[in-house]
Amino acid sequence: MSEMGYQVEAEEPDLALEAEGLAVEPITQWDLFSARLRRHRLAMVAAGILAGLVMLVVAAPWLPLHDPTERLVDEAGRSLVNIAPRQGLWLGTDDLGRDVLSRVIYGGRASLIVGVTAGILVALLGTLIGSLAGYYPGLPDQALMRFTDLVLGLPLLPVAIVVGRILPEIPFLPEWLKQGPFGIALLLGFLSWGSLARIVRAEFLSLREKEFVEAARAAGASDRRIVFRHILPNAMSPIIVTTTLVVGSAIIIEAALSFLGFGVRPPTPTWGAMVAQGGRLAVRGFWWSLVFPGIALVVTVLSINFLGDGLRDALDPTQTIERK
Amino acid sequence: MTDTARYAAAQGTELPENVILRVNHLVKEFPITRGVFFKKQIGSVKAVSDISFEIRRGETLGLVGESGCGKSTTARCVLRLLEPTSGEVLFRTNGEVVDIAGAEGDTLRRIRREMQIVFQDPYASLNPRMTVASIVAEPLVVHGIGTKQERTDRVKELLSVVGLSPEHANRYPHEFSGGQRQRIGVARALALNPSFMVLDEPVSALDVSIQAQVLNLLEDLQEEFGLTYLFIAHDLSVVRHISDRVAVMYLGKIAELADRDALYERPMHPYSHALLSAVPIPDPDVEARRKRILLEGDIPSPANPPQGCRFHTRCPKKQEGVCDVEVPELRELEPDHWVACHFPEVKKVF
Repeated sequence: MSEMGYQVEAEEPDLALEAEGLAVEPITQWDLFSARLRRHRLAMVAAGILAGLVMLVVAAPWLPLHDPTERLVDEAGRSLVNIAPRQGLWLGTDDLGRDVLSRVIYGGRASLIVGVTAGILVALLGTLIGSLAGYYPGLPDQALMRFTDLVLGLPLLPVAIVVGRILPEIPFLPEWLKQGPFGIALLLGFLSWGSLARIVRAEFLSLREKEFVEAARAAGASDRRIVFRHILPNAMSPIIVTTTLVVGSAIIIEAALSFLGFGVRPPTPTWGAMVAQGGRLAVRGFWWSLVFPGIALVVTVLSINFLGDGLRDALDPTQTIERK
Repeated sequence: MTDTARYAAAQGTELPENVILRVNHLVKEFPITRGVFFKKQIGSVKAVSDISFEIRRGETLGLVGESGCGKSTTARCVLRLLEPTSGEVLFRTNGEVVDIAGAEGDTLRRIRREMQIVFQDPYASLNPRMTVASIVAEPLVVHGIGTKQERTDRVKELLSVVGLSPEHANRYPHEFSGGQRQRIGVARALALNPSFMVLDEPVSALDVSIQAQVLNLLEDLQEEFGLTYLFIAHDLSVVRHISDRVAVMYLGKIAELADRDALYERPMHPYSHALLSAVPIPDPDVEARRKRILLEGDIPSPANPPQGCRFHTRCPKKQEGVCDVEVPELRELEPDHWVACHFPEVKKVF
């Protein structure tokens, strides 16, 4: 291709830029993204809290904690019921003499598993269905979106309660699906992808008509290339942000289900179940059983939402890094 | 006989050697639908209604007309970015003539290497998440041309050809000005060494000072690489500067098609008169003496175009019983000067 030996002044290196050390560093999308995220203080604090929580929850079995289901007794054999926070029992015990600190940490396992699993499922389903509907107009779009309307029309809590009741009765399902947090996570995931699908479809509809997509088509790019190189990367920020919101709300809904007694089966601790139990105890003056799982729940969900906020800003490619 | 049939017939069915592209009876209608689930077509927007023209090798054909007259739709049908409703688009590539409107699969991909487009909006036409290098290299990647290293070299070469620094390759589009972005768009269009390029209002979104730079770049490139241009614009002075021949469109039809000088010096269609009289002349004395031809009313809806001559609702010379009944054919009134009007008249407006 040497027939294009067309020399222009601009081919000389830009000395001014080089002197300032600003020239030609290949900056990847990831560099830009993390630089913008690091600037977002609240999101960084939230990310720190969440990282700490994840480590705590993962490392729980190796930490010097009581078993979350163990009923504690003192040296004399008397059960330690409704003990206020004190040395050794930093967050007190509940009405069965179980360590609240241990239960809050183990309860975080269930909450995070539910939130993250439901979030991943929603991200996959919502993106898949939204992209198909947005990229293929006409019948596929119509069919998928009416199905989405149907799912969006289901009242989440009642359906989750009913299905949660029916699931354990189905004989051939594995045990982990019937009882543990995964079953609830999958259930919530399957019920809450609707709004993401709508958002993704709307993004596809608008991006599909953009001139850079037309340019790719004029260059002869395949549908696959157009979707994965041009449309999806530009739709990532609403997908990620919506997903973080879904993670937060799945944790809340799991808590609500457990509060109502339809969540993960006792004695496995979850924050929702602890709040329900703590509510009854708090009116008798044993506030710690209510307050600590409540704080854990609120702080976690807030952190996830703040992180989502930060991600949305960080994923906007036109935001400069210079801004202070 | 449709109004452009005669034009098409006069040109013959074979593509002469010097013609790179011929559009025959191109029609593009967009359906208007109603209802959510059971879509019912209740009409159609007739964006392009049976137009024919040809583009000769190495020339620039200017396509002018006001917003919504079908210029861009025509260009997108030519490039097969839109599916034409009917008509054919004959394109000469490597000695054979292919109908783009009917091409499929590999043939279409092969033709796409030969024709490219530069868009109007330099902000919307570059993917904000790709570096300049990957934007310019994309056509090469799509067609599997060269190794990674060869493509990198080619990108640097292309960037210097369009007057950018090769160091810009690793930056993102938003770090550039409008004119620079348009140069990136031109570099991308050049990547595959096309023979034919559609320039869809390439300078309309730029500052006037930048417009001249980009126009000169386009002219230099045309000379350098022997490109053929279809240049779409609504700025008549820009079209006069760059075109060899000019087609004036009104409401989905060609009103007049002629050599640039013939069109600007001796326009015959009343719509061309009005259009040209709106071009400001950089001489206050001439400008003060000149009379503008003001059209009455608005451009009719292309969903419901007027009967007969499409222009008759606003034409100062319309005659009842003729213009509103009979569609005027595109006729060759002077050599290479085609006019679609029942009452053409040479009128100097410049």
